Amino acid sequence: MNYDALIYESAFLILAISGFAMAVVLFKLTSVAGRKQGLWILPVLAAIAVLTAGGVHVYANYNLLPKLSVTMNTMSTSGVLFDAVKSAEVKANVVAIQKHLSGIKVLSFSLFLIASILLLLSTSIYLRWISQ
Amino acid sequence: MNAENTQIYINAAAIAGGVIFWAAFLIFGMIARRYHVVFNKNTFHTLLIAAPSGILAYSLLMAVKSAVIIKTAALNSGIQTCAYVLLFISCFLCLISIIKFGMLINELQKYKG
Repeated sequence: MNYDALIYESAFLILAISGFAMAVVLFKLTSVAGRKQGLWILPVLAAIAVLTAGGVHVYANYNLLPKLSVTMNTMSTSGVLFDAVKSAEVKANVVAIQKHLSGIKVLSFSLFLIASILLLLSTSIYLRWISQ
Repeated sequence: MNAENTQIYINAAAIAGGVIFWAAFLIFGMIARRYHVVFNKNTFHTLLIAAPSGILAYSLLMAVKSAVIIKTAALNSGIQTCAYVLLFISCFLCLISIIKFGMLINELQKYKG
C-alpha cells in the first residue's frame, strides 16, 4: 500500500470538509454582518473542486498506476520481447497510459489551484465587507 | 504541452495553490480575530492563523523538491512524505479551528436571538 498517497488523499478529503465547514461559517457570518449575498457558495465550489482533485488522484493511483505497472511488466515477457509487432503495441499502450496520467495530474493540480483561488476570494470579499 | 512543461506547470500549480490556500485561511483567521476584538470571546483566531502554516510548508517543500535536483531517491521520497504529512496535519487543524469558530458563532447567534 502506498502510504504517501493515502496521507495525501486524506489531506484532500479533510481540506474539502474544511471548505464545507467554512461555507457554513461564512453563511452564518454574512447574516451577522447583515448581508444576504451567497458568498458561502464560493467555499462550497472550492470544496467540490478539492474533492474532485482528490478523486482524480485516487483514480490515477488505484487504477492507472497498477495498469501501467502491469503493461510495463508484459514488455519483459519473452512472448513480447522477441515479437516486434507485440512489442510496439505494448510500448504504444505504455505511452497512452503515461499521457493519460499526465493529463490527470494537470487536471488535479488545476482543480487544487482553482479551489484555492475561490477560497481566497470568499474570505477576502468578507473581510472587505466587515472592514467597510 | 511536452512532458517538461507539464511538470513545470504541475509544480507551479501545487506551489501557487498551497500559498493561496494559506492566504485564504490566514484571512479567515483575521476575520475571526476581528470578532474576538468586537465580542471579546475566544474565536480561536490564533489557531486559525497558525494552522495553515503546514500548507505553506507543503508548498515550500514541493518547491525545494522541484527546484533542487535531488539524486538520492530516498531523500526525494522523504521530502515528499514530510510535505504530505504537514499538509495533512495542517488541514486537520484548520478543520478543527473552523468548527470551533463556527460553534462560537452559533452561541453569538443564540445570544443575539
